[in-house]
Amino acid sequence: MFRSMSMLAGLLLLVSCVTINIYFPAAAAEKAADRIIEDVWGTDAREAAPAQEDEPTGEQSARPSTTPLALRVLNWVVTPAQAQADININSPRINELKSKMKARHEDLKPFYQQGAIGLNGKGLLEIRDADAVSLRERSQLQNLVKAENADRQALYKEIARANGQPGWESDIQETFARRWQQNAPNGWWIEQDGNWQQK
Amino acid sequence: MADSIGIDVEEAVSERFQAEGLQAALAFTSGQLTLSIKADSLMLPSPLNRISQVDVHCTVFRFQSENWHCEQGELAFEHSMLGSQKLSIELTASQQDASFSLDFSGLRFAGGLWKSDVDWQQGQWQVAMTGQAIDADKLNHQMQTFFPELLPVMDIQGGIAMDATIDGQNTALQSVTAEISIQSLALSDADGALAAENLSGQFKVNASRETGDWQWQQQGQLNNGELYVSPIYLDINAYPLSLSSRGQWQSESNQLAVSHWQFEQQSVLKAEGELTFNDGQLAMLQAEIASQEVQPLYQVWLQPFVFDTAVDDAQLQGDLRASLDWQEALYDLNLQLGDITIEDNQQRFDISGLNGNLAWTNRDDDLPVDLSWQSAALYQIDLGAARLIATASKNQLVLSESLFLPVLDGELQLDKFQLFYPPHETVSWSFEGLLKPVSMPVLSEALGWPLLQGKLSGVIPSVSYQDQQVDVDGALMVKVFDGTAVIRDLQLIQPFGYVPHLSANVDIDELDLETLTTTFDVGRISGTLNGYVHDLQLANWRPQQFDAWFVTDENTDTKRRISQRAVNNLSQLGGGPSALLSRSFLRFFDDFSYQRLGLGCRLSRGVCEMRGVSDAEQGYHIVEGGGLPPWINVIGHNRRVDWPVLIERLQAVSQSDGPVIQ
Repeated sequence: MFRSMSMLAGLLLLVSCVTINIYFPAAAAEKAADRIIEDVWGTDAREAAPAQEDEPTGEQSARPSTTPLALRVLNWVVTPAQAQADININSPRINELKSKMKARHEDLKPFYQQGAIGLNGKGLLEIRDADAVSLRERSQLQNLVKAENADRQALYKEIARANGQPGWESDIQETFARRWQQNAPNGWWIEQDGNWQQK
Repeated sequence: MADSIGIDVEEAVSERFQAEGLQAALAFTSGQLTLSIKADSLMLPSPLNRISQVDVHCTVFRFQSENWHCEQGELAFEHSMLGSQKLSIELTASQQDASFSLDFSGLRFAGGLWKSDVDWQQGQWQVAMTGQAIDADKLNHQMQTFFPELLPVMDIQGGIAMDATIDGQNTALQSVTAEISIQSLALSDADGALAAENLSGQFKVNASRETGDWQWQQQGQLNNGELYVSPIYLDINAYPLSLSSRGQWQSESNQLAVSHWQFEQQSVLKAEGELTFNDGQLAMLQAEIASQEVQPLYQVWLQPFVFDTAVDDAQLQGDLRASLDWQEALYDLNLQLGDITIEDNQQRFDISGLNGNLAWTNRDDDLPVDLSWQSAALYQIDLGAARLIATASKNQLVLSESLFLPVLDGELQLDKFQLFYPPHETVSWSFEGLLKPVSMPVLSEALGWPLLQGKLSGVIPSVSYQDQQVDVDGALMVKVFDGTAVIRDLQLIQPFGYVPHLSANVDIDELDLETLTTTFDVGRISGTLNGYVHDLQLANWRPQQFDAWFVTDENTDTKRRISQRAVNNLSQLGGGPSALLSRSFLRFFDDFSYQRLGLGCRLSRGVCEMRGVSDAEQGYHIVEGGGLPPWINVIGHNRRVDWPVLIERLQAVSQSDGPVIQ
């Protein structure tokens, strides 16, 4: 009796763990992120690989490997209609943030290309090599990165809010962190597992 | 043949110098005494500590009447940090007057060559030292090993030369005179917040101590290179820098008083004043600043701090004088503006001929503010000359007299203008006012709208700005098309941001449709129009949502007629190019009579939910016929229209030449 109870509890635990993952529409979020990234980066984003990437290998990332399973469970447990939950990225605030970031991208672009800045694992920009930038441009670089990161944080928060799920913020941020890096053209720097590498 | 006398003095000095294996030998060679002293190791005061393989050789050694002379001497030793050294020395020591003098040269330290003269007499001493072609990188590393906690870790490259004289008595310093020059210096710290490139300059200091207090004067300049001290960038090639100061430091009370300082950034600014530090904290600062050309002043000293604000991309002209009096966190700031022009590069605003006095304080003092300008503009709206007379006090600026600001051909009267900017908070302001009639033709031309008739005026009970948001309480009344439009609850968010937001409620009353339709050239409708646009939300001046409803007034006696072309245009809005109008005999009439005309749109998420005066089969009536024949019904079929599509249709309407009826 006790054993079956604990098994049930374990199962519940398992299901509830999975459910948390499930309710965040990962695929839709990726598509939404890609659309925003394409708007912000323009043609710079198009050189990149399409959204559905191969399974990341082994230790590189433990997180996405659970998604397909989660989706399968989801399709079985919940009706597919719910699983197809869409991510709304059409609030005025999102549009505003997007247009600010798009305008700023023109200024940031040379810094990406010089390797002065890179895309870190948190969906934010980081100055990785200030010495790559002339002293004259340092202040601009610092201000740009500061403003960009403030807008990115606001964007993640606002997407979660616009979808009535403030709790999704960190999932959205994680999704964006991956998609910024995936969509980045060759030559830009990205941070994975704490190491910077050039794409 | 040489005689030599070995002197074993090991025991005599070993206690004092902690020398090991000390040996001295005097030799008499070709009529001259030579002295050799050797020691396996010798302990010197910190930070030198231990030297080893010490070898002193005096080619000419004289000893007369208790005076020792070592001429053409050589000193060799090994040191853990200085390495293997071989110096030329001259040494004189007198037992009689308890003095000695040591001159040495050829010390290799930090990549450069050093020489020094040391004199000592009865405890009074002087060290003069000169170092040439010092490698800054090596000096930095050497200093790090000697004083590991004193200097920040940074990359540094370039050349340094120095010349210094230090006087003292026993263990106390008495005066220091130093001249240091740097050549092509580059440095950067770990996070890139401090960096320099190709920096060249000179620095002179002269300090002396009298009864415990230090007096100093200093003069330094940077002539070439670039310097970045986050977030300030200094292009020294374009604007050389100089800084001089004099003052005193009371060691007992730890008070640093700079009785006069002067800073000049060539062609940018000159500043001078005095300041005091107590226990390392700034206690008083007094500064007079003058700038003949405000553009570089703005670029260098202001722009980095106003990034992403409305004033981060402007072009300035004119001159400025400022005085600051700061004491224990309380300050008065006075600015004298001389014919200043500010133009926003993004053409959001400009102001020219700005003259007068601007002040700010966090004290109780009342500082007078008297500013005037020749002309100004906000977006495309021209604002004329005005004068602002106010008082600054306690983080506030309060208008003392009403401000009359010409707006196009009208005038905005500001009463009770008040600006509040407390520390650590954002700026806020408010005013009450009166908008004296601005004629709509002028306004519509300025805004690039179709030419509208009428006047804009209003009483403005309260306008306030806080957290980047402008709120207008009360109603603005626009007299247009022989009727009125009343704008309420006007709110502007981030008016100078990337995407300004505007929200408002607009009610319109008794517009003359004939004037309206003629103005927009969409055919001709006669009648009187009432309606509203509620919950209007614009982002970047484009509608995001609203609930609009326009309907003709049935209670007026005006004739209600509608022309062929207007019918056609209305039907296009209602969802189809041919809603309508039987194409047969009706085309023989120029116009028709109608009973009611009404059209509404509730815009939300890019979709316009349309409605008319009443429901019809498969749609809604935009025009309901009635009155004298011929009369006509116009029915809209699409209840949901994409907003961009509707805009396209509206554009098509305003551009269409007329009805196409087959």
